[in-house]
Formats: sequence, structure tokens, C-alpha cells
Amino acid sequence: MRYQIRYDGPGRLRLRLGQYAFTREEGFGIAALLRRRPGVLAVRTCCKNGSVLIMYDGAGKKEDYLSFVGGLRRCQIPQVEPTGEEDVQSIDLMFQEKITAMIAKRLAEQLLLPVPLRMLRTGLRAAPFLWHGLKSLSKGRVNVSVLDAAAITASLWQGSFRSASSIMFLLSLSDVLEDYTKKRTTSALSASLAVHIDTVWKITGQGEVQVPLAEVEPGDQIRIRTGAMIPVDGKICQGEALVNEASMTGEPLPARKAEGDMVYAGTIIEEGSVAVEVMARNDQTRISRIMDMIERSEELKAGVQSKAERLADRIVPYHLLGALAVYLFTRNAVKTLAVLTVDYSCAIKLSTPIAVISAMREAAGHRMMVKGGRYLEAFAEADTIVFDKTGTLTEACPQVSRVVAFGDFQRDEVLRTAACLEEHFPHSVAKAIVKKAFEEGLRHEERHAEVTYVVAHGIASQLEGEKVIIGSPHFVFEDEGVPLTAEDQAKLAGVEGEDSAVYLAVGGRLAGAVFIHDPVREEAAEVITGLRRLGIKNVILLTGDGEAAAKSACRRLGIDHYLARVLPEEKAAKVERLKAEGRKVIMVGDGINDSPALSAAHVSVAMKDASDLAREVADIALLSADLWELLTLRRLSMALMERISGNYRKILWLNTAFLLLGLGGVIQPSVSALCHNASTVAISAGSMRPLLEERAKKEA
Amino acid sequence: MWKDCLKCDRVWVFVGGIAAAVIGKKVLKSPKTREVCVKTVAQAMKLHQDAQTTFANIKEEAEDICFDAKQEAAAACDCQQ
Repeated sequence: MRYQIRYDGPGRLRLRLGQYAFTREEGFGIAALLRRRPGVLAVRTCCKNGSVLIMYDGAGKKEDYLSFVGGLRRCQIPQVEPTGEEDVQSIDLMFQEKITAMIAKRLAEQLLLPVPLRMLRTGLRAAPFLWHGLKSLSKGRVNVSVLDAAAITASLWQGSFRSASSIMFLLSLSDVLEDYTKKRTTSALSASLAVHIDTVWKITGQGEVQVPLAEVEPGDQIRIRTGAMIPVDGKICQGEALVNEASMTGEPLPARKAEGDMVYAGTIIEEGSVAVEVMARNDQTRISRIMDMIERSEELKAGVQSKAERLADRIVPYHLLGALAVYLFTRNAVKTLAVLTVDYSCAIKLSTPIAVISAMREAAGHRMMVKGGRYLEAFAEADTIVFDKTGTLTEACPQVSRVVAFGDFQRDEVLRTAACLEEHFPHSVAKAIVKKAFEEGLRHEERHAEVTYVVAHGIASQLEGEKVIIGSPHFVFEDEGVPLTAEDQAKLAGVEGEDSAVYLAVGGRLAGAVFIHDPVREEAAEVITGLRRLGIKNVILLTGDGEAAAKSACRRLGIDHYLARVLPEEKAAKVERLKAEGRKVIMVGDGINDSPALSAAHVSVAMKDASDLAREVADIALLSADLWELLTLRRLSMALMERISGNYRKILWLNTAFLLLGLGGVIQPSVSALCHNASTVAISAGSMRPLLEERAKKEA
Repeated sequence: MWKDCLKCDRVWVFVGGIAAAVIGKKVLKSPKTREVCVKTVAQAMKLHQDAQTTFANIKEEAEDICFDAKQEAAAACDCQQ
């Protein structure tokens, strides 16, 4: 392709290939190809003048880019969908062009068009507004369309074509702005989710690294585990899994896929873990998944958002009645028009969803996936937080502290058998036991039959004809009825400390106990103090562990209430009880056993290493490993609620002021319409500003 | 009566209207008119695209000038430090 160098500065090169050199999609394709060259930081293309802007660092070579662009053939350029950032830029550009064109057209009309033609044009432009107003009225709805139609009709009736034209121009401008603000906010949220949330584990020489899916290229290898959706088309290069392909084939039963088999984007791994060599990145599936999530999140509107919409709709009839009253008392059409051109509902309806979507985008930027606006509202209003202990308040890497054998069983045999059973399940405690056995050089061959996992209880199997079970004391002693002799009790009393224990029984006899030391997270105490400072009155710990472990954790973290040895359904019941007491409850958990409690709470949070079920059930999923994000979330949600109420106040005061100024005859109806629309846009644009930054400034 | 009719302005306006409609229809249907219209619309579209290109060029060149200014300002700051 032929080009001209239009700018050549340090780290910045602008080439121009000429008008019609490439289409919009080909432009994104050129950008994608150039981004793969070494040293390229960013590329921007514009199809209107065929410009390609390349920004590069020290590692980049200008000559390389020039020869690459020079060597391009149009037929080789792929047609590519825009990345999130490119999409946001296109929306900005389209908006700028639209607004410029609208203003230029209006100026040209005013300067060049003869008065009769201008009047005719105003009449023609008024028709759709009047039609919408009448349509709403015929359906018995008194909404903003009726208000707009009334304002335009009043102006035309008065013979003020100029004023009618101004009102219509401002209304159109406001529509464009509204459309732009919504599109941009949604697109920015989508881009943010694609970068921060839509990530995969890429297998590299240094191990597994989490990267945005958009950065994955054909030939890369990615790791996909149980419960996850396969994000690409590819070939299994290691591992085996049961893959549910119902989304593709309609077949409900999962298919077994092993090394060499193909897997497709959108299918789900029901069991197993595989490394997949990427053959094609199915962007459409990925993008539609993000868009689905955003659409779903719009359905899960915050209560305050729905309230705002209802309030906005309810105001309109009173507004019309007000205008009628003004006309009846004053007989002044200008003053009536001033009332009609200012309304409260536009700003309320527009600014609230924008504030909510912006907050969700900000949360995504902090690697938190909020599934709907209502959850941010619930998080801000909550006064009680319930924590699960293991994996939530404690590190996700517990360690075996002691192994105790009972009766005639040997310590090593207890550890070996425990590891042999536990190695089938990727739970953090199971991993700790397997690791300990490995460190001690205890080899465990598969001598047992198939293992059964009993959620939140333990594991059962057969070993040399005898039933072998491992799990919580509730599972071993109560459910399975393994006797605990006085001798065993005495031995246990001597060793039981703050660590939690997993019990092993063989043939109905207690064989041993493996004690797990699970240290609390470093930041946990500070986070809990911070949450209290931010208005959380009750902090409660729920755990399946023993009394001693729960008590010790509470003492260290400053938690006042705890429930030890609780079963999953008891956790949910506790949450329900708290709700019945009138408390607004946040539940934070990570395991499959937390899922009932997570769904019972007003708002639930799943930790980074949570099970897929917990992440699916939870309303908010954290993608960073620490608890600090809970404080960020609380601050963000509180700032959002403050912003929404602040917006209401601004809308009320500003529009009332414009209305009074219009009534007093200080400003003309067209000026009050301009002020009203400008304030709506300003408040909505203000709702897009980062919340946390503003709150930090206030706190400082 | 006919003379009265011919004196009436409205009749002439009516006749003129019909004549304009007939002639207008003929003109609009003629291939020459069509050709002129197509050319005019094409010219307008081209003008629109050229305007967009010019606008894009101006915007980009302004961006480049701003970038240079920022670089110079940054360099000046570095020198002062």
C-alpha cells in the first residue's frame, strides 16, 4: 500500500494512505496486525482519510512499521471487530461528528433559508413530536413525549416558530447526547469487563499466567478447569474432561474429551481440567457473553433506579397540570411555555442508570464483577456481614500441622490413606494433606474403589473390603456413627488446639486425625475494622470447623459473634434469621457449601479462589486475592448512593430555578429549555466521573 | 361569462397549476433530469465525504501539533529540574 508520512516524532508516526484506502473494519484489522509488531504501544486508524497512527516505544523500529505498511495488500487485510477501546473511540468520534453536523445544519438554516421555508421546515419537524405525544395520550400515558408535544404546540400556537424550532433542536440534541452517554457507558463497561474480568489462564514457561482473553493468540495454550466455559475453539493438548456441548449440539449428556480432541467456544467443562491449544478465538461468543451479562445487569436494576423511573413518570402529569394552572391564572403563553420546557424527569431518568453503570465499570476496573446495580445498592445499605472462615478469612493455603493415629493404626498409614482419598478433590484442605504426604515421601497407590464426595462433609470409599471415610467430625461421628472411645477422647483432648481437624475412619473405627493449620489472612483484621468504620454494625463468622478454631479466629480478628461446626443449610438458616431480624446482610464465602447462604443473603460476595458454583450464585465476584476489595466495594457503593441523591438535589434545585426564572419572565422559554437540557447533560456527564477518587478526596 | 372567467385571477392560478403539474411531470420523468439529479446527489455525497476527510485531516494535524507542544513542555520541565 502507498502511504505518505504525515508526522514523524519520537515514538509517534502518522501515515496517510488516502481516502477510501481501507474500510472501518479493515482499519481495525491493520491496527490488530500492527499491534503484534515489536515495540508498538497503540495504533489508531481512521478510514475517512486512511490515516494510521502508530505509537511505539524504544523497542520499536520505524523502518519496520513503514516496510510492513508498504508491503500490505488490501486483500490480505483482515476485517476485524473493534476492541473495547476502539469501540469507545468510535462512539466518541461518531458523537462529535453528529453534534458538529447538527450545529452546522442549524446555523446554515438560520443564515441561508428564507423565512417562509424556515417556517415550513419547523412545521414539518414538529410533526413527529406531535405524533409521539398524541400516540402516548391515546394509550392513556401522560409522559415526557406529551410534555414535549405540548411545549411545541404552545410555541406554534403562539406563532413563535423560532422558539418551537429551538425547543426541537434542543430536544434532538438532548436525544443524541442521551444516546451517546448510554452507549459510551455501556461500551466502556464492556471494554472494562473484557480486560479485567474476561480473563484466561495462559500456560507459559513460567507457569500459568492470567491474561485478558483478547490477548490470547492461536497457538497459545490455556488451562480450563471444572465448571468453566471454554472461551476458544481449540485442541486438547493435555488432560481429560467431561464437556457439556448442549449449547452447540443440544445433547444434554456431557462428552468425554481427551488429548487430541477438539473443543469449541461456548461449551462447558463439567468435570476435569484440560490444557487447550488455541486454534481460533471466538470473539463473537465472547463479546455476546459480555453483552448478555450487561443486559442481565440492566434487568437487575438498583431499587433506586426503578424508583427514579417511577418518580420521573409520576411527575409529568403534575407538571402539565402546573402549566395549565399558570395559563389559567396568568393568561400568559410565554410563562406557560417556560413551565413546559423545563422538566425534572429527563435528568432523573438519564443520570441514575448512568451513575449505576459507571459504578459497575469502576468495580470491574478493580477486578470485581458486580452482576447488577441492585447489588451495589444492597452493599451500601448493609449493616451486617457474615464471613465463611476457611478460604475467605483465612489464607487459601492451609498446612497440615499434626497427624494423630488412634488404636493400632500407624501415623504414616493414616496420612498415606488420607492423601490417597483426598487427592481426587481440588479442595484447599485436600491439597494440604496430599502435599504433606508428598513431602514426607509417602507414596500412595490407588488401592481403594471409586470415591464419593459428600458436599461439605467428606469423602467415602472402599479399601481392601472395608469402608473408609474421611471428613468433618459431624460426618464421621454423627452421620457415619463411628464410635469415639474414652481413650480416643482423652488423646484428642491432649492434642486439640486452635487447628481444625479432619478425621479418618476405616471399617467403622477411628483411624486418625489430620490437623490443619489455616492462618487468617494478614489484612483480615484491618478490613473488618475498616468495615465497622464504614457502618457495618455486626460481623459474624460461620464455620464448619470446631469451636476452638472459630474462637481463636474471632479473637484475632475482633469478631463478636460466631457459629462453629455449622452445616451448609445451617449457614443459610442463620442468614435467613438475620434477615428476619430486619438486618441487611452481606455474605462472603468461597466454597460449594457456602452457596445456600450466598443465595439467601441480600447481597453475596465470592472470593477469588471460590468454587465455580459459589461464583455463579454470588452477586459479586472478586477477582483479586485479598479482602481489601470489600472495603473498596463498600466505599464505591456508598459513593454511588451519595451521588444519586446528590443528583436528585441538583436536578430539583436547578430545574426549579429555571422554572421560576421563566415564570418571572427573566428568561425566555428557549433559554430555559437550553438551560434545562444543558443541566441534564452536565449532571449525566458528571455521573460518569470516578466515584472512588471523589470519595477519597472527601475523606481526605 | 367566459370573459368574466378569463378575468378571474383564481382561474389563471388554477390553469397555471395544472400546466406546472403537467410540465413538471414531463421534466421529472425525462432521462436528462434524472441524470442531472443523480449527478447532483453524487456531487453532494462526494462533497460530504470530502468535508469529512478534510475535517479528519484538520483534527489529526491539530492533534499532532498538540502532541509536539506537550513534548516541548515536558522537555522544558526536565531542563528546569
